[in-house]
Amino acid sequence: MRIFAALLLMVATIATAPALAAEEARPERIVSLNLCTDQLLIALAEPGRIAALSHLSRDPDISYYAEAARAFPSVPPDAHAVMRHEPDLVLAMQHSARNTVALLERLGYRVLDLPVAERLADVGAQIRALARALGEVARGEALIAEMEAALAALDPQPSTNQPTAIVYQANGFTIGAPSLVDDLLAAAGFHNLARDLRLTRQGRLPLEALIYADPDLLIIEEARVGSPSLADQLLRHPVLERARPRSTVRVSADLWTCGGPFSVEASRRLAALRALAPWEDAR
Amino acid sequence: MTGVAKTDRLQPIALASRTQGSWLFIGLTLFILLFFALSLSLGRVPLAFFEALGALLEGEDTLGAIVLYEIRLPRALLALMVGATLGLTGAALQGYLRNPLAEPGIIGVSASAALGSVLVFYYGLAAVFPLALPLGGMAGAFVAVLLMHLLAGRQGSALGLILAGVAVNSLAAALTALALNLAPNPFAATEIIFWLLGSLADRSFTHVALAAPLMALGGLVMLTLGRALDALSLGEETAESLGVDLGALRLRLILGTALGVGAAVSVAGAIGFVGLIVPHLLRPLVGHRPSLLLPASALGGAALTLVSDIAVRFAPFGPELRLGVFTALIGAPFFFYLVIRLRRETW
Repeated sequence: MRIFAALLLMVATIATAPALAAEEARPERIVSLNLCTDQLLIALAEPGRIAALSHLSRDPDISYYAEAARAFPSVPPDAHAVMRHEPDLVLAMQHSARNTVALLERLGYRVLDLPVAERLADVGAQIRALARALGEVARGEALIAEMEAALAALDPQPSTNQPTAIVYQANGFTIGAPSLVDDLLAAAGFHNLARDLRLTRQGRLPLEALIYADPDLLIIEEARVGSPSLADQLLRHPVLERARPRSTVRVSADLWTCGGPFSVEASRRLAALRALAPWEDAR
Repeated sequence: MTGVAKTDRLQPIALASRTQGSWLFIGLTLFILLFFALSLSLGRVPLAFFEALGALLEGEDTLGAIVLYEIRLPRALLALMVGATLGLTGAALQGYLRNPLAEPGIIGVSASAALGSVLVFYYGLAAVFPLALPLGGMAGAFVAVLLMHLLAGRQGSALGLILAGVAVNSLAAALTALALNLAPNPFAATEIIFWLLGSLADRSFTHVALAAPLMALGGLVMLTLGRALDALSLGEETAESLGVDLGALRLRLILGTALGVGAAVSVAGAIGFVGLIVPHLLRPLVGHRPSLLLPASALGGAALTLVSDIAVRFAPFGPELRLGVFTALIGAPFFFYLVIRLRRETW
């Protein structure tokens, strides 16, 4: 009896859900389930069309648009909560919120599942795909052109003697290649030392191995400032200040946790640093 | 004159155990020195040890010297002191409770100290007032050792003590998990493994400075218990007739345990079984005398912890093991052995 009732409910929901035929229509109530799609959506869509964003979008440590995101309701990765916003487009990113996405698709909701930006070059493709779904093609192309111009302006002098850099994150993780961060370092004219350590994507680097790698620039990615954890305490180990006293920089993760127009800003800041420091002397 | 005759008869035995004992102490000290040096020279990165040591002594800032001084030296020092504290506390608790299974880990003192540390660390108190970290650990340890006293006491059976320990342990672990899940930092929830299994990886001199003086103080308090525990091993009434103040003994034991274990756990997490294995292995070697067993167990605990902390660095895959994983792998079978032996004889 109960199963029958559940089935009936399901049929009713499917019937009332937005029909697949409406796919070409311009979406006006968009829900995003992922931090990265949240930020692309904010960059591309009028605020009036955003129905809800993921709760991570409000976190200033990892979300570049945290301030702007506070204007919108936040939604947990839960199909029921999403349905309550009656979305005509749900944004998700591959590898995340899989159960919710599968359920929403089965219920007939229109879901745009963007691929993860593995490289800097993928960000443009992401923007293009989302812009098409939003009916904001011109705006998307303008944004991409803006990004490309900003990157071209960095012009890392192709030198054989590139300064080396390494990114150190909470819990002692570092970022290798291929990755968005590796591309951003290269765009700023730094050689990612994690490549030489044969780390792909993300890998754990023991503290003493980090010191021994001896990068010219140590980029410490700040985790939650002000709320203590052992993961964060590691980033404050006295050895980090002592081994590289003049060339340690602390960056907030919001610029490169996701790819977006703002990611270029990370490269721009690092390039400025590169222009400043006397790297040959540091060696 | 009967007193003299009695002394004469006892003298040879005491002497024998003393010479035997001094060899034991020399051996343990040499062992510790060797493994302390190994702890400095072995790690994830191959380090030219003597070169680095030379640079360090000459005050040069080479990478080797920095790694040696800032990463490996605090780690080895903490292994030494945490191990000594755990071994010593195990011996003192076993002597006082006259219970072979008493140990800071098993009776829940370590887990409670971890809870205390977690509360002050993750909710920001230790960030504004660093000494709050060991104080939190000490408060947790104090509550647990007091609870143990009320629940099992000196008259209690071995079984009663273990059952009380199970209760305190599970409550403390559950509250620790709860506190970490509610903590404002998203990484906190995954860090329960550090607090429940312990680790000395990537500790710094900040931790040494916070915990070492308190561990030393707790150790000193417990080392003064030797004579009283010797008398107590002859029975409670005999001890009292020999002038042992049981109330004062109890108070010093509780304070020493809280100071030492609280401070140790607050920087290294709860490392189990060291306080169980070490006194048992050494007891026959010191002629079953608590006054000798206390310092011997301090040395033995330091030795075992140094060895374990070297072993965990060489896990074949992935990040290094937690220290408590290794001590449990040797400690738990030992615990089984003790339980089986206890079934046959009363201690």
